[in-house]
Amino acid sequence: MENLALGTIAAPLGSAILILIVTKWWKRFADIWATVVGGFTLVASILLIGSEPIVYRMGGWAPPWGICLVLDPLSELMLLVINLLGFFVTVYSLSYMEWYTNKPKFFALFLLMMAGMNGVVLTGDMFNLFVFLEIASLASYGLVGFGVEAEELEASFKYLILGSIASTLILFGVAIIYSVTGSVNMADISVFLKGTGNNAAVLFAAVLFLAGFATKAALVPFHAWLPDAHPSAPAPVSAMLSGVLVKALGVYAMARVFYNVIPVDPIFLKVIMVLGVISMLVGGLLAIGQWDIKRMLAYSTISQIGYIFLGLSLGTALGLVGAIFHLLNHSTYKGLLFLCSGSIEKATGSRDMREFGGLSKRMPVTSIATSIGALSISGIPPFAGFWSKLIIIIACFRAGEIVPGIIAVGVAFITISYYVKLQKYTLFGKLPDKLAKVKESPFAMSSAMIILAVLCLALGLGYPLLNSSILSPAANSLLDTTGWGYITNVLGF
Amino acid sequence: MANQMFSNILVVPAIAGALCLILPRVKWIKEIIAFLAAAYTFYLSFALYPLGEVRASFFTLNLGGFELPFAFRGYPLSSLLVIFASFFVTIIVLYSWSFMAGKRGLHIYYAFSLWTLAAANGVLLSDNLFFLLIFWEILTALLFFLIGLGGNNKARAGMGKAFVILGFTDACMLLGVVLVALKYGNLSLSTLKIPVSDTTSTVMYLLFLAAAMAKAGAMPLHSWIPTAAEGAPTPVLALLPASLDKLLGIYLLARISLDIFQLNGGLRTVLLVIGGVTVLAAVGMAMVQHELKKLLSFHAISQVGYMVLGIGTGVTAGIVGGLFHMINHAIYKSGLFLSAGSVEKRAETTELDQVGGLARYMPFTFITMTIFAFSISGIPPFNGFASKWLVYQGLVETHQTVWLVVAVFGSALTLASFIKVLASIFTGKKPEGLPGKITDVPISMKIPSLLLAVLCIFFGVFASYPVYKLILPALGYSTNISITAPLMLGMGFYSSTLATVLIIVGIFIGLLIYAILRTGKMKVVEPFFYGEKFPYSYSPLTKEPDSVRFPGTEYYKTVEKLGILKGVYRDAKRGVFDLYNYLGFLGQSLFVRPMKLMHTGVLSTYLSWCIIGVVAILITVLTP
Repeated sequence: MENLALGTIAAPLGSAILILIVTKWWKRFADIWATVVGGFTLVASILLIGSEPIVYRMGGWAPPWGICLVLDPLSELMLLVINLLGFFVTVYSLSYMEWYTNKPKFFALFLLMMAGMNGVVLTGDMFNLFVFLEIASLASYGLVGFGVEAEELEASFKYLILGSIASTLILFGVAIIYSVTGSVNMADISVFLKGTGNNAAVLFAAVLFLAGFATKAALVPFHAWLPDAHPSAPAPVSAMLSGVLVKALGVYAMARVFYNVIPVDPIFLKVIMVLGVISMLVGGLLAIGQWDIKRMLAYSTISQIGYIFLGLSLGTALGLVGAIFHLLNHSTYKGLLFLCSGSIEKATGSRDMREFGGLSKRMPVTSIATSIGALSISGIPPFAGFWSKLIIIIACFRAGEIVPGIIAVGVAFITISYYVKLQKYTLFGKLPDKLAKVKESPFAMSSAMIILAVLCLALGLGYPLLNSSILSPAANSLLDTTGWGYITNVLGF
Repeated sequence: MANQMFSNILVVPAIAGALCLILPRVKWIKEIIAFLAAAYTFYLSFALYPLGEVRASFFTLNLGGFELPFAFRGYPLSSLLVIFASFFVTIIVLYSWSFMAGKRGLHIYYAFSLWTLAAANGVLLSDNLFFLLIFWEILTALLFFLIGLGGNNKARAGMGKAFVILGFTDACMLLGVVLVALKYGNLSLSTLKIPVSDTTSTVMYLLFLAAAMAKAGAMPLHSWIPTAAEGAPTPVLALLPASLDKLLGIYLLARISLDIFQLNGGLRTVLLVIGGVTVLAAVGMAMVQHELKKLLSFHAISQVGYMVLGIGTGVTAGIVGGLFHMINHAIYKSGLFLSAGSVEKRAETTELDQVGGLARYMPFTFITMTIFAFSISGIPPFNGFASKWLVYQGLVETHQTVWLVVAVFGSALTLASFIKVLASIFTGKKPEGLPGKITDVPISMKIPSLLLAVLCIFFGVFASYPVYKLILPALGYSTNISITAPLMLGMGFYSSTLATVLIIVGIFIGLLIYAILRTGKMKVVEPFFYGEKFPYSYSPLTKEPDSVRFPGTEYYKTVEKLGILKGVYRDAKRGVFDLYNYLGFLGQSLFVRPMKLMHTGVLSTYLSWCIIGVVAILITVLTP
């Protein structure tokens, strides 16, 4: 089991380099190997579900001295989220990336990003968190600019600048924490801070973390890179960025640091709540005004990430379950929607919804998948999005946060409005003459979309099962009543 | 036993719908599956009704600390409405066989119609507000796709508007359900009793009310219906806005207003105002429509006003009248839409200006549509009169003179606008633009209209039967009165059978007088056109008499030009009274556009936002 967890980082990391070497002689190797590695990490992360917390000691050095990987229920869930979408996006890319020139380089960068994300959710060490976060981020800068057109390079550059600033803030934070506690091991820091309490330096470091992770998660006002980067990237990359990257680097890291490392402080939860609510509203309202299909989806991500942070900031078990469930759901349906948008863009050569219409007549699979994704994210039962939003809303009211709760309901309506716009302009109405000959996507793309669409329904119907097997344990690993659960897992006392 | 029955009523149409979707596209297979499934559900619903009060619970969902039993209850009103819902789906599926033949997306159409039935039965039978909400939202989503089947850009506008307005009220209801659950810890429709005394309970009631109003189509949440009517396939209109949505919306209104919340006078007044305004304003809009389906859709709004008025009175006569009117309306309005569909099928247009003289070619459609038109206009002895009469009784009893006048006047305007419909479609000469050879519709389209027309007459002539045998028992009163007995609720007295006899005698005497006096010779005069001299260019003195057409829509154009109304109609056409437009406009100009302008794409601006963000958080956190 320990090696399986390590494998989810090592396999993609090694394969990224292997692919670059082998494809010098054998081009098809990239396709085959990326699928194999994607399949392996997916199987590994499924097998790891429900296992007892694992601490993998690098070179046998015990923490806090050695480097360690920690697999607790939250990491298990995140691994599943990342590798699940990662695998289907890989399958989708097999066909989609034919559009671009250099598929092996794409898969190399893609696997590097996967390795970085898997590392982020597994590491038990603040500095390694930064390292893996940089690996994932750097790979994603490259992937956003993969098309090397002017628009893509500009987006990639903006993303690079804002992302690097965030990374710098996080690195400063790690340095300050190290100077105060003398350790970079998360559990060890937590033990130290429980003894001393949060002094001004720790608070300062926490603000740096907050801002850094908020930028990675694209919370308003740190969101500005996202609406440029997501539409410009190739569709599979957009799906990964919106689907998992912002969550692994932003949501997960934020949750881990503010629940397990730094003793839970109500003021930070309040700040996160305010950022979450603002993101929900701003992202949603801006999405209404978009005509570029992928840009609308990008703003929608900002809005939905706001929901996740709202749930996270409540500090109650129910809120955390809602947030984690929404995170899982959002990765499936937003990944799905970006894949659909890619399929539409490939078929029509455009991203402007005003030029579409009646595509359901020509692209049945894509339209059904788009509709299911849109209904799910709009919160229509019995699809998954309904349940997670409902839990977050109930959690708000239970925690006595009436105004955020009402805003969450209001944003659910805003979400319906712009997904109605997306569906009606894209899929319904009269088919324009110039689109009369568009074709449905090839098998690899369609099958990835179909499976994700089925997942949207299955996750909704399977909520009771999911709750007991994954969601509640993950929430509890963040929020245990004593505050010592994580520490005990890692340090063994 | 009861479990089995409830699950069958939901599962049969649901599974049959899935079959329609996945079975290979062999000719007729989905049509037959859909019809059989709907008919079987109809049959099952007959078995459920006599059982009276039955309950069944399947499982309990634990969500966010709430225990939510997936429970059903055969509340008599629910079981009664399940019968009607299944009936409407059955006949409309039958009608669609030939109406929809050859159209795109038929598997989706039949599948979603059956799922609509399943979800509607779920709404009617569920005993838990949470599951009611789930079925309710599923219906919204299904309606969205059903309207979209129209396949044109008008359907696109309609589907969007419907989903946005209904989605908004679904969100309201969700908020209401969460608030009720938190405050009372109970979501069971049968045990929940909330006295409306303070702000919280009023807000809860209004949140549910919004959902019921939008579904039924009462003002100001009505505007999705006329927009949808422009593009959606006609059977979809007959199925949802005309019949099922009315049953469900008014069912919810009845349950929240009569069972769950104990209303105070203020909220009753709110209901009366909504009802009265809806009756008058919508019928006013209907008067000036030139497109048949849009005209009917405004009547579908206007008639909701009577139901809301009836329930708003809070007295037995009014409530019974409101519910009776709901059933009657579903009958004649789906009939009207089906007739409109028949005209559309044969004449290939529903513009009233372009049709005419069809009575000769489509006598069956003419007769049934006349019956429906007389029913909706409240002409005795048809069913619309009986239920409107009961609503009037309720208004008289509670001394709501203003709303009584409004309701009666609205009824008169309804008649006026249906005279226009009948005159335009069926009388006069057939205009040249129509297809050369027009025949009446095939038998599968006749049977539904025939059944509905028979129901219109039966519920009118023997009005005591539905009132005393169906609706009063559904509200929990047991009665034992023969079906020819007069209606005696409230202060008045109406014997529908006696009225029928008198009317027939009156018509007979009239015919007799006509026969006797017709012996003299006839005088030819210059034609008058609705009280005005016929425009010279059309005068029969200059043209051959046979070539003159009298478009039935002409007179109603003057209504638009009447003094005060002129401005109102102009505004209404521009959508000034449409909340949807306001919401869209305000949202766009206040929030969306300014924020879009802020996203300039300039990196330094974005950087400054980040820095401002960091500084703001620092200040918040570090100030003690």
